[in-house]
Amino acid sequence: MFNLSQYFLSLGLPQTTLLYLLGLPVAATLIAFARQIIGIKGFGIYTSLLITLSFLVVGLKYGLVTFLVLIAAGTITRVALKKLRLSYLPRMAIVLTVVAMVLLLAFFAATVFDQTNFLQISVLAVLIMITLVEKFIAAQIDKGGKTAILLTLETIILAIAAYFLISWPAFQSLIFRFPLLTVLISLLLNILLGKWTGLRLFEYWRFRDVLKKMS
Amino acid sequence: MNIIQFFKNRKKVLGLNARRFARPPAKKAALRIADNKLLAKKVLQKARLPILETLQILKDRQEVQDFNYRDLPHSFVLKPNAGLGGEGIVVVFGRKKNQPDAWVRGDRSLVRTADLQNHCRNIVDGNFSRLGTPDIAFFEERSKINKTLKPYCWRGIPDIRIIVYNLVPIMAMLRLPTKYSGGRANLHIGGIGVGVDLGTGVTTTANWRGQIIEKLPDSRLLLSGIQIPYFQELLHISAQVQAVTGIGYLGVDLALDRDKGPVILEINARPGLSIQLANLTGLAERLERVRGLKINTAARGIRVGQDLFGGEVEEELEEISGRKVLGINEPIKIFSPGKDKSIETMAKIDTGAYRTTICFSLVEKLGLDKIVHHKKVRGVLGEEERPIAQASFVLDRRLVATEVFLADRREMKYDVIVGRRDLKRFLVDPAKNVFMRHKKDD
Repeated sequence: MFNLSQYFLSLGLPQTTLLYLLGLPVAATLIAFARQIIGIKGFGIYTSLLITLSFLVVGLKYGLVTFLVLIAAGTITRVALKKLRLSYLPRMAIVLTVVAMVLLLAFFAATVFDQTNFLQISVLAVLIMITLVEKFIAAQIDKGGKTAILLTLETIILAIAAYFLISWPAFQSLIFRFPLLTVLISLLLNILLGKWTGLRLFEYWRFRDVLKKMS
Repeated sequence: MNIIQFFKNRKKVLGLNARRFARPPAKKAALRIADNKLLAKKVLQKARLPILETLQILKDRQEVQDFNYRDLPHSFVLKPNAGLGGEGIVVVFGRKKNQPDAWVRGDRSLVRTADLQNHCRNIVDGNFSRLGTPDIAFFEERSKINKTLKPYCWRGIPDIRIIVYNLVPIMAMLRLPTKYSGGRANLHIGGIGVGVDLGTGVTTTANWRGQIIEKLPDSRLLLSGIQIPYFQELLHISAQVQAVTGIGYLGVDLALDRDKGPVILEINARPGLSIQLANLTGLAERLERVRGLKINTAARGIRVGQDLFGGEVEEELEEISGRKVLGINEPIKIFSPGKDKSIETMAKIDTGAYRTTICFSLVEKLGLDKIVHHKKVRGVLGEEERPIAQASFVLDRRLVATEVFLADRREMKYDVIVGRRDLKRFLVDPAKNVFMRHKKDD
């Protein structure tokens, strides 16, 4: 039987490229599911997927630590800049500058502590993480600290879930064996999700008093 | 709690997934009005609906730079034109004494001209607009607080949100600013949502931070039973707003200004879902009941809304007390001793009288003439001896068996007076007045 993935691999396409391209639709479906059925919002599909991608490239351990350090650095910078009353874009540019410098510092610290593996981390993934810090800081400014922390946590949880899904060997073999089928199924699932009008899981909790009270 | 009922009710509650479909497909132009506050004000003003006065509009950085902020009055509100969910709004309550360039906010923090200019610049840059596109900043007069609602508010301004669908007001909520919300009335930052009965404009249940509350936090003020002033007018305005803007599913935020009365604060094409928590009632069910009704005028829509969704206060009271609520007059059905005959008429509910009295004219028709004993009564006309007979009647679907006075009431408006002896299982609301359907038959 003709197998699409075998064919592309025989053309010389790297296996990871194929995995990411085929895994992306499924991960996107997972995020859509989390929003429509469970009620986990996060920062939406774009941010969650990019973080997943950087976790896949960098590895979960380094990825998570780097990301949290970057967000912390960004937050501290934002608070420190508050007094200066700058306009949004220049302010954010300063935040990203500091975040980039902190990362350089982290590379330096890694050599001191003999964690030279860290130096081999993909530059593209790191750049993605730095730019994503903007999203998190913007949420802090717009929505206040508490909501921002909640959204950040949700986004990271979503990214980790998607990361585990894509790096799960059983899932990988499934996707390589039936590439078209998995993509088709995720398409179908998304149509169903898009038409779904029922209450989200979290909404059962949110409206519990109403649900209890109505007869 | 009935777990099956709990899950059955899920269809009555409107969730985020279903809200997208709640609104009938509106014209793009209509939705643009909701996302553009200044355009909305223009449209509403043209329709002669009450709005707050715009003090100054700043369109770009140049205007933000050039405007003389000292010209602003003592109190005002600064808003981004395309802002969402109350974001980017600055409210000042008064000028700091002897400082022409400093104002005081709800939380007592100071706002100086430099802060205002910076905030305006952020607005113009689009940091509060929905898509991050360049925006317009504008100053508006601040609505002054209404006396009735003042004791319930912490510094800010309370507002009334009315959801209108298909020209029918389907749910209403009073939003109160608290200390915890920094004097703002938005629920997700700590304002209180109080449900409002559509029939009467009286508050029912309240919700604060997702919890049911009965009293105002840190006080002993009950949140239920508050009569919202100008409620009919508020309903009327909100239905008018829908007629004018053409947005099929709409939330209208109104304030009660001390001097101007009801004014429209904002209109919302995606009103929040927490109003269901405040009212402990689902929106989906109400939408369903109004969908497809042919309603031509706002007045008709209001009548439909009040008929369909009003009266919860009474039902709730009945549920809590286990007693029916009677008005000052009620239909009554009196039985003959053998229960083979009955007469329906209107009775006056009179808590001033002890015993129920029935007119001789009914006594004859029903054969209630078996006198048990006599009793002396003292009335305005002096002492008089009245016969007492056994009788039974149905009042508001409850059977009452009792002893009643027989008297000549042929000259009176009602043939029957129900006294407190027979009202122990009821509550009486003097404001409830049943329309006389049955003419007294002579």
